[in-house]
Amino acid sequence: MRYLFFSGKGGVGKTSLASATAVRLADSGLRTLLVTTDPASNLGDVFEQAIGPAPVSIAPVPMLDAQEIDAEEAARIYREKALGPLRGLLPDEMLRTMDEQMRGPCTVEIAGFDEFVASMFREEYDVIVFDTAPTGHTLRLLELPSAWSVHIEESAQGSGQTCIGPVDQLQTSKEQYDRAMALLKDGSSTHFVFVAQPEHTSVAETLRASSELTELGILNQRLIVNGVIPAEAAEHPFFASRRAMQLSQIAEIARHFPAETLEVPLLNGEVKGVAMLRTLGRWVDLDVYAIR
Amino acid sequence: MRLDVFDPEMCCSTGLCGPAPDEALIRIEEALERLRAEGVEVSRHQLSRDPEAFLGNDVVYQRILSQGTEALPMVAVDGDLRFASRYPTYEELREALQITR
Amino acid sequence: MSTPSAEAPRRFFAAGKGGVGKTTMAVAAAAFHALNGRRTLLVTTDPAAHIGRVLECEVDDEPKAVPGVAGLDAARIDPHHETRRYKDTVLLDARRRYAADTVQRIEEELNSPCTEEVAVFRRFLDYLLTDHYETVVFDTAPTGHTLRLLQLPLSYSQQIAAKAQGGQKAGAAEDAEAGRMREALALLGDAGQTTFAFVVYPEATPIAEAARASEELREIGLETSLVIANQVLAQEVCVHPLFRQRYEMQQKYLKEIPERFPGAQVQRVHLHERDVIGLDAILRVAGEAFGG
Repeated sequence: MRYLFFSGKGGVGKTSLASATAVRLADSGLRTLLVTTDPASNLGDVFEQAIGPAPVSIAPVPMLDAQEIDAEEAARIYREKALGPLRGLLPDEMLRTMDEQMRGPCTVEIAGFDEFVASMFREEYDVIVFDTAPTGHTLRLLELPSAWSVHIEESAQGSGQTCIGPVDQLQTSKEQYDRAMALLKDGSSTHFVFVAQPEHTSVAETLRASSELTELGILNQRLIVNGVIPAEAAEHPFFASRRAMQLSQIAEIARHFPAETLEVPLLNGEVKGVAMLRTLGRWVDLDVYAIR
Repeated sequence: MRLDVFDPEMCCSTGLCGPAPDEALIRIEEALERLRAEGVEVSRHQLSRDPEAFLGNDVVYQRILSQGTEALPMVAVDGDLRFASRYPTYEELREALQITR
Repeated sequence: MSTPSAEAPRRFFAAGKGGVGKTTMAVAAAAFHALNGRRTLLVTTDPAAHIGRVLECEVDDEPKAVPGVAGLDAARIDPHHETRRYKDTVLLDARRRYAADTVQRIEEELNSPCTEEVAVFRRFLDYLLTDHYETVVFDTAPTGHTLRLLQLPLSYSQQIAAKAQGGQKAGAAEDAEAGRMREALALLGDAGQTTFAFVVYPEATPIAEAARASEELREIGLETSLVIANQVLAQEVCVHPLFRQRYEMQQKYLKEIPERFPGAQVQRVHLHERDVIGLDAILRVAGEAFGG
C-alpha cells in the first residue's frame, strides 16, 4: 500500500493536482482511492459528480474511487448510532437535548480523525491519495495520532473514558493509530507532496509546514509549483513583471526540497471535469513516486 | 452494595469541555472514588452509551418519561432510586448505603 | 481617505477559503478602519501570522501596535500558546481546590487533543467581546472551521441551559460564560455591528464553496453583507490568448456573483503586478475593496 499526501494552503491548486495525480495513477492500472479530509471539500465540484462519505467510483476513470471524509457527518453518524435505538423509547424532547449535548468540541474532531485513520487501512487499493485540508489542519491530523494515542492510554488506565466515549467504542484502535503514524513517517510507503503558488504567502507557508513535518520525522517531501506563467505568455510588461517575481520565488523555495521540483504552468481555464484533469495530468510525473 | 449513577450527557467526567471544570461533577467523582475504595461497587451510566441501565430500572425509566432530562442525575442503591435531579454528597451517599465504621 | 464612517462595523470577518487573498483583505480592512480614525485590532487565527509579513511587522500572542498605522494593533491566536495558557490556568485553580488524584484526572483530560479547540475558542471569544477596540477584524480560518468556531456559542449555550435543567446548580463560572455566549450571539447576529465578507477568486469552485459557506452562515442567522472578488484581471493587460481566455472566464463568473450572494455588496480588487506587501500596496487594495 502506498500513500500520497497533497498538502498546501488553500487556493493553490492542491485539490486539482491531487485529483489529476489520482486520475493518472488509476489510468496507469493501479487501484486508486482519492480521499479528501477537507471539511470545505470540493471534490464533487472537480469531478462533476456526487461524492460521499464512503468511496464512490468515478465513472470515466475505471480504477478510481473517491471519498469525502466529513467530520461533521461522521460525528452525526456516531450520535445517531447512540440515539437511534432510543427513538420511541424516550421522549423526543429528551433525544433532541441529548443530541445537542453530544456536540462538544471533541466529538467532531475525534470522529473525523477516526474516519481518516480507518481510510488508511483499506486493503482493496494499491495507492491512496489524500487531498488533505490546508496546512494547519494537516499537521493537526499528523500530530493527533501521538496525542490521541497518549490520551487513550492515559484514559484507559484512568477513567476508562475518553472525550468521545469509552475507549473501546472507537472505530479504530490505539494500535491502528500507532500504525498510522509509523506509516506516515515511512518514506518507502508515503510521499508528502506540497503544492505551492510562486508568490510570497504560499512560499512562506509551504516552507513553514515543510519544516514542521521534518520535525515530526517526515522526510520524504516533494514540491509542485503551480500556476507558473509560461515564458511565451509574458509579453505584456505586467505579466513579465509577475513572471520575474514568480521565478525568484521558485528559486527560493526549490532550494529547500531535496527532490526535484515540478513546475506546472498556468492553464487557460479552470480545472473542472475528468477531461481537464487528464490535461493537467500530462504534467504529472508518476515515476517519482516509484509505486509498483 | 451497589451504587448506580445515572448521569446526564457529558463529554468528559470533569465537565472540562464546558466553560470550566464542573465542581459538582468533580465532587461526585471524588465521593464515588472514596466509596469504591471502601468496597462499594460503583457504576456510572449515560443514556447514549448504555441505555439498558436506564431502561432496565423501572423507577428510573418512569422518571425520565415524565420529567425528561430534568430527572438527571439520579442515583440508585442496589437498584432503589434514592436521589433524583441532583448529585448527592459523600455523606448523603454513606447514609444511604448505611455504611457503619 | 474619507471621513470616519458611521457605518464602520464593530466586528469584521474575512471569510472564505485560504489562499485567495483573505489575509490581504483582512489587513486591508483593518488598515482602512484604523486610518479612518477607529481604534482597530486585527486578529489572525493563522499560527504563522502571515499578516506580519504583509504589514512588515511582528505579530504576537498579545495585541501589539503596528508601526506606521496609527490606531492599529495586531495579534495572533496561536493554538499551542493558548492551549498552554488554558491548561496552566485550569490546573492552577484545580490544585488550590481539589485533591491530588482529582487534579491528576483533570490533567489527564486536559491532555486530550480536544482541549486546543476549547482554548482557542475562549481566546477568540475574548477578542470578540473586548471593549478595548472600536473595530476588531478577524482573518478567520477557511470556511468549515470558521463555521464550527461560530457554531460553538450555539451548542455551548444549549449545553449550559441543559445542565441547568438537569438540576445541577450552575456555578458562577457557568453563569458568566452563559452571559458571554449570549453577548457573542447577539453581536454576531446583528448585521449593523458585524460584517461577514467573503473573499473569492472568480472561478467556479471558489465561488461555489463560498456560496455554500455563506448559506450555512445564513442558516444560523448570520448574513453576508460583502463579497470581494480578488485578483481580477484587467482587460488591457490580457493580450496573450492565455490571459484573454482567463479574462473571459473570470468575467463570466464575476457576473454570477451577485446571484449567488443575494443582498451582498460586491467589490472587485484587481491583480497586482507585484506581491501585496507593505502599507502602500495594502492601501491600494483597501481603496478598491472598501473605498466605495
